[in-house]
Amino acid sequence: MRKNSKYKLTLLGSLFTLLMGIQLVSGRSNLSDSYDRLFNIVTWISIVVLLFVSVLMARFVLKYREEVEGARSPIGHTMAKKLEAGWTALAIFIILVLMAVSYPTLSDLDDTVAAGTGEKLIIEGTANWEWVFHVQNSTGGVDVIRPVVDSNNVKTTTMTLEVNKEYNFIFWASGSWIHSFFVPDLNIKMDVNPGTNNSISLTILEPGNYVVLCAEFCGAGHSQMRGVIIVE
Amino acid sequence: MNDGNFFRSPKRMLGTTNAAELGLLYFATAFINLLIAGTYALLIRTELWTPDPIYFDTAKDYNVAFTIHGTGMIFLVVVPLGAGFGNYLVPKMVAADNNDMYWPKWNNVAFWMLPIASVFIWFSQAPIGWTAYPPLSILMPGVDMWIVGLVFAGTSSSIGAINFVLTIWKGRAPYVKWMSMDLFVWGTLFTSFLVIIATPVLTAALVMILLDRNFNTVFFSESLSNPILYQHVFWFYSHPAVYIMVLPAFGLISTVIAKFSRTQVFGYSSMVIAMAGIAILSVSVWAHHMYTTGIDPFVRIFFTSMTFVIAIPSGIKVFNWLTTMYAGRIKLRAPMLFALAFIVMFTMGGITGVYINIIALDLNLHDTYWVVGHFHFIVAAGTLVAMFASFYYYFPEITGKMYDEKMAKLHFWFWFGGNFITFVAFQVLGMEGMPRRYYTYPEEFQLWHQIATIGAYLMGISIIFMAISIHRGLKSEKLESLDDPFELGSGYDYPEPFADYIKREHGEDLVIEHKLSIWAPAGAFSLVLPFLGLLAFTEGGPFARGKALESFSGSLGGNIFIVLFLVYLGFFFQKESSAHIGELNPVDKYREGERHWEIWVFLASEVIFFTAVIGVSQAIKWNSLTWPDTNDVLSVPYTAVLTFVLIISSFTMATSLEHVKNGDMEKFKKYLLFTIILGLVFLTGQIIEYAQLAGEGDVTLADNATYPLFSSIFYLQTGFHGLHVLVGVLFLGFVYLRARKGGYSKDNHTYVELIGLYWHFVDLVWIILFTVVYLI
Ligand code: HEM
Ligand SMILES: [Cu+2]
Ligand SMILES: [Cu+2]
Repeated sequence: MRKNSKYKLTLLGSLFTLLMGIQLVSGRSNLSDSYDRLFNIVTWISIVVLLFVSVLMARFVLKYREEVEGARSPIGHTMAKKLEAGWTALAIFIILVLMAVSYPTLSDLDDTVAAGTGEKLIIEGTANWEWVFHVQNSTGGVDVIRPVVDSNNVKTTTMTLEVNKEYNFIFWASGSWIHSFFVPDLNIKMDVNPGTNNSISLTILEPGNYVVLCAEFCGAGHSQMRGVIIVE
Repeated sequence: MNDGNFFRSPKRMLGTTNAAELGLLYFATAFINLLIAGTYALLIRTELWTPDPIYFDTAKDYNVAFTIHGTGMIFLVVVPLGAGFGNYLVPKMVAADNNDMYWPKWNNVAFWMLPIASVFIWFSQAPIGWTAYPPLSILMPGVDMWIVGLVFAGTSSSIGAINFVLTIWKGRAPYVKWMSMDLFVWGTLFTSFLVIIATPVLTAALVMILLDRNFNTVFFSESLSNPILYQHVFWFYSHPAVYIMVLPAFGLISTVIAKFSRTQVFGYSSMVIAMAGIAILSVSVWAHHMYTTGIDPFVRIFFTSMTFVIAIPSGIKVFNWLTTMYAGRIKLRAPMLFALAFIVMFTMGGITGVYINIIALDLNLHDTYWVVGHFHFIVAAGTLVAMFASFYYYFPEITGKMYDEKMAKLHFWFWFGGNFITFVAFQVLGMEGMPRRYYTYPEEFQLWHQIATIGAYLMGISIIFMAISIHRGLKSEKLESLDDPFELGSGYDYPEPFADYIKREHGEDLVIEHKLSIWAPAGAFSLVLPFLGLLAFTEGGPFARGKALESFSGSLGGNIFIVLFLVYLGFFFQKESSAHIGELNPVDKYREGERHWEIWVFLASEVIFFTAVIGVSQAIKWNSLTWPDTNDVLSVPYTAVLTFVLIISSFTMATSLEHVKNGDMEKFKKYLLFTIILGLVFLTGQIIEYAQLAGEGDVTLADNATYPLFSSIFYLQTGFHGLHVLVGVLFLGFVYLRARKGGYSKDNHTYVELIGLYWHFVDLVWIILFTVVYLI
């Protein structure tokens, strides 16, 4: 049947797209390893679940569509009861597995947050939609680094940090907006709240340029407040 | 059923109280709103084709677009579609009396609030995102109007929900058993419970924003309070809101799958239990939207665990839907295709949801396109798809004709394909770190943005096919019979209509009559007036942020609106108080009995509202460092006297009711009057108290108040209670007017009882408030 092969094809195509899409985001901080591992495991579980559902559905559609002649043997009453219980158990089981793989990482971040150790580094999000970095310099003073604005009004603030050194990022919103300090390549974000200061301790393990974005919608300049952390 | 003239008669459209017709109006409104919100979506996707400006000149215009798109899709498309199906199907599925909802007039009011809400929201042009986090939402223009629109939408769905609960619980025919109801009825029931529980909380949060904007309160001020508090209140509503959208879809989809597989729904009871579980658990997962705010790690563990648990019932449902198809004879007509798509897409949505519930992953994925992909899988590719499936399935019944199958299938393939392309692209973007709500973006994201945009256009095109399919359907010949339009071997099989049953059992002809009520829509529209007044008071009109207090006397427009409203109220009282009692009480003898129900369901939402207001106030108090001793700033003995007055009024109310039950009409009226007078004394006392406090300068909303935060929660709590007393007094006055015209008797005093319960409730709230505000 033409109709059904079309259907199968779409399904396969979609799955392929999905698999192509999912790939590792390679992390480069003390938190990244567990992130990567976890993301991989959850992705495999997800693929199994999605395949199970799609394949079962495709099979039923092909086997039981009205064009297919032949008798059907419906599920008997006792079997139905068992199956109902079985499905419930399966759903619980999947969730238990997911809990089991994710709970060990629950405190990863909290440990580093609680640590509060490392060189202090104040990350300021301003009312003007810019990052301002307050970095300690070699003479013991503090450099206040402001952004460079390009022709598209993208404001980029650049600071240089040392590799393998622990920093204590302290987040401070100097204006009224809530921002969120987001470094995709480090898989980390933390809200920058007016009034209360969040902080995290982080060690970056690989040299390179890390892009900083704002992840909490903060108004007109939200997409243009950027930063770069150069790690050497 | 539809004679086709309905949409040609404005008077009938305005005044109908017939649930089936109101259902059609919901569909029409939702479809128009879908076109508007969809256009916004395409504009957004067009803008993101490249990082440079294409359609929107400024980021602010872009921000407006996604705010309006999101708010519109959720509150003006998907939620109303659920209500539309509810109106169309529930009275039939429970064989309700008069084949209608329990409160037909209120049903009309609920519907007409929706177009009003739509107009307010479309024109608000607020640039704050549908979540409206402060401080942003306190400082941006357009938000007053947006909030008014949302309050209308929320009130609309609350009234609708109370009505659904009553219809299902009380209006259901005795021979329709709980465990044989269509699953859609269950879905609507649970959704309605959630609406009743959650919507008042949203209203409270939005009103607090409105007050912060215009009346100098500081609930979410970053220096005096904590803006994050809003996020808790907001998500307490909005997580249940996602299930409010999806539960009716669960019900609809179960029926479509079973029908087109020619089987029975597999695991009926576990489906019901799963829905119940989802509904109950959904109020305990809200903080999974707040993992990156820096909340306490232990709190996070609780919420991640609860969220995992709530995924279990969703999983069970997916497996049961699959099993429903087992050993069937599946007919792949358009409704079934949509239903199958729902299963896959909902699974995708659930899977992607699991990622963001894992805190370590959410720290990367939160507020990126991953989240956008997740909820689009569930809402656009899931819930909306379920609505499409059912729309096609019930199309023959609604119109008497068959939609065009070829066009419907094209609609399906374009929609499904577009969904998949766009939302998978969203997940990929999210994984690579693309934040949401971005007007422009770093160049490396461009490829996936363009893929997403192509998918979006496919979806846009699919809606054209849908329109053609409907159009051709409407132009086609009437079907011979509606018993089984899809040739499935069984039709819509509703239970026997109540009137038929009565005819068969009692030999009596029940008249099915749906009255036209012009006062119901007029009531809905009149409510616009005070809100327009409020908006006019906000300096610079609806589109600006302003301080209402300062321009209170200055705004001519505002005063005109308020006066118009009062005039309307006067007319309304005049008319309704002399109406014949039967018109107010359209209940036939088969449905009499316990009517307290109505007020209890209504009071439930009031209880939640006050719980939210008091709860938030307590939270603010605990978080605050400078809290005054109430004995220093308030006059406790004075208020104690007022409290006493209110308690006495409860007694006079009870006495009054006692007398009407005994048929002593003179005493009934006398004590009713006492109650009204005591209520007025209380209100006057409160006004004097406010004036005095304003003079002293400690507890005021003026800029230089000594205790701004205490003042804010003080006026919030006592002010809202005062408003309730005012409404109570108005209703008592109304009852009194009717009583004087001989409207009540020994056997006919239900309304006195209802208003009495309301009055006791208001008094009880005051006793609690007096304790928490004045004493501790
Ligand atoms: C069943 C129907 C579901 C619906 C309708 C739904 C809907 C939504 C929506 C609309 C959001 C976005 C909120 C925003 O604006 O940020 C969201 C976020 C979220 N959903 Fe779901 N969801 C569903 C199922 C699930 C499931 C099964 C899970 C997990 C097991 C889940 C976990 C989450 C989490 C953790 C977030 C927060 C993500 C973040 O902001 O970082 N959801 N969901
Ligand atoms: Cu931002
Ligand atoms: Cu949620």
